[in-house]
Amino acid sequence: MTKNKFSLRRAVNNMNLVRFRFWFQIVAFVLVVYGGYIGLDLGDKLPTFACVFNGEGTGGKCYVGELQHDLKHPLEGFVGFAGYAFLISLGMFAVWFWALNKGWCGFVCPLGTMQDWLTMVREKTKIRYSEYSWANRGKIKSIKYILLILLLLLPVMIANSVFGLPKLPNGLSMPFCDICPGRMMIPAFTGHFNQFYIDFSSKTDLVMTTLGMIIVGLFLVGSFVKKRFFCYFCPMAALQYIFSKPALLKLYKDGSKCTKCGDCYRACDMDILEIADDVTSKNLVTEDCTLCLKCVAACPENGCLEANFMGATIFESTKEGFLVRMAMDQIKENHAH
Amino acid sequence: MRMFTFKLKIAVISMCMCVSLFAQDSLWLDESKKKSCCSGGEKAPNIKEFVIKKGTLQENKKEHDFKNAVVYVRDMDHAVSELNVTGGKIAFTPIHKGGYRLYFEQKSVQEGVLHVNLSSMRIHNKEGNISQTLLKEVRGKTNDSHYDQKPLAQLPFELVMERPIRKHHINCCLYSGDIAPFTVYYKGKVQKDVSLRVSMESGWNATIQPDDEGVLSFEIPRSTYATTEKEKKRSEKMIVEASYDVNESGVYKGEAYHGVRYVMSLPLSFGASPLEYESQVLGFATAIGVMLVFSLGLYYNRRRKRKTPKEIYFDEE
Repeated sequence: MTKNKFSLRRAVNNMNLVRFRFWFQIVAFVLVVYGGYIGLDLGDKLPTFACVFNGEGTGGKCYVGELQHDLKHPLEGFVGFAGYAFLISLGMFAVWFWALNKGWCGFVCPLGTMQDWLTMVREKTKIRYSEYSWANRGKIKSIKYILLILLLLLPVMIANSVFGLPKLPNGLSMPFCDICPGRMMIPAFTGHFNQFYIDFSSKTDLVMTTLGMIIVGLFLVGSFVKKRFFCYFCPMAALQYIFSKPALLKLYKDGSKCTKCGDCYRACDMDILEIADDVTSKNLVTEDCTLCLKCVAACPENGCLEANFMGATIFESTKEGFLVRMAMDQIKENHAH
Repeated sequence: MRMFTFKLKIAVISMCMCVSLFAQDSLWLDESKKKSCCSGGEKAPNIKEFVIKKGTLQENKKEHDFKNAVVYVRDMDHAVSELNVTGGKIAFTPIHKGGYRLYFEQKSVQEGVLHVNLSSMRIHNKEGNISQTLLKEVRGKTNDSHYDQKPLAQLPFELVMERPIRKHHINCCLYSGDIAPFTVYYKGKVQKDVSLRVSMESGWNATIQPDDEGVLSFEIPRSTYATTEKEKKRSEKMIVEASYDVNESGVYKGEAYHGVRYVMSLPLSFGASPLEYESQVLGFATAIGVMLVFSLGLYYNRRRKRKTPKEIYFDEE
């Protein structure tokens, strides 16, 4: 009798995560990219690529753009309003980020969603996926930190002479936005392709806009053959990781229940080894993790992996959930054949 | 012959009207230039000062008579306040960071006609007062559009600029080549029979007629063919102005009038079109070229790395 009783927890643990995430991402994409048309305004400190260049369509704005803007002030300005504004913006970014942790990347980011859609197209066309070589993984991981340092440093060097060096040209005021594929791709979804351009007015603009065009080309092909291709280089991910520890949403692992079967690692879009190998850490939100929760859905052990919000388990791995999802996949596969 | 004389009269009258249109003085709001330094090492308070200019863009003088003048300020949240204009100065200390719109209104009765001179301009304030704007900064509101402003309830007549139509990538400002649309409102209703006068610093003047829906639009012309490559930030001023006559009689400050003439000006500035120094075709070509090279590279790399199955030999001995 009790077996047939509906349990919300059981239903959540047995859910089809792929389908849930697909629809969640679509809703988030619509709100972020088109929200402005219905008057949605989530502010300008969002920890996701809600592009500043999306004009009236955007439902909020990306903090990276605001951060670069906030830093382009003379140092004496930081004693006054500019300094307060910078701290308030950083604080608000942290508050937004703590609510969802890296879930912003896995569930909300429009650029991440676009990459997932390209992956789906590749899977439909049955083209083989690619991987970054393990020999270069360390170097690839460090690119996002280099980009983060540059995007923090260059705007400061426009308004100030740092270490006696001459001030940088104004064309570098938003260095990351210049090369971010979101600047071209997100407005394109509202019918504005005017961010695809090369600026010949100065050498700096020429170099930055050409780099932007090269990176958008790499983004489109790279995301097609490699899952979450751009997320490895994303400076937003690096910035988020700095604030990740006190976040409310967590990915916990109970190492004692892990059999090291490797299913979680194989399900991971970001090829995070620690998710399978690490049986000592509790919090497994690593620098590259997007909190997509695919690992939780792929784990066959009861309570080994769980998504935890403020101490409460919201989704955890169960044997039953694993079998249900396996059965769903099997049905889908049979249907396809 | 009589018909010819009539047509000639009409032509002469319309020519005179055209000349008078361009010859007549405009009145507009302008932000006065900031003083370069501050006294005694103290930081100057964030006061914005405005002047009223009268004349043409080429030849004008500051107006010091603010008798019967009112200035309204509308902030980014559409809250309206009235400014004090005594002492021959229009000064304003903005509290919040963001866009404000100022409206100047001055009334006077001349030759039995009530003249209502209006001017409006937008300013962007970079530094707010942190103690008063804390919540706004925390909220981080982004909807602070230059355009699509609703007419101000305090003014019966208003010229409003709508969102420009543009082909380049910059959303914030006006550039040559952009199509700038305007709408004229009288008592909150769109007026479809009012023309627009445009005059530019370079000397270009035009009268724009409304379309069927009352929208007055024109393409901002390129005013110079001198090289603009190195002068990306070069900007030019223009004044757009609309006037509207109403048959209305009354008394204003003890003076009787039998008609009202509203004139509203919008001082605007525009830069050289970004399309003069950027190439969208080349942008697309670069992105597509990179995609092709990257795809082909991947394809050949995959073909090269394709492993042949290992041949297994069994030792039969």
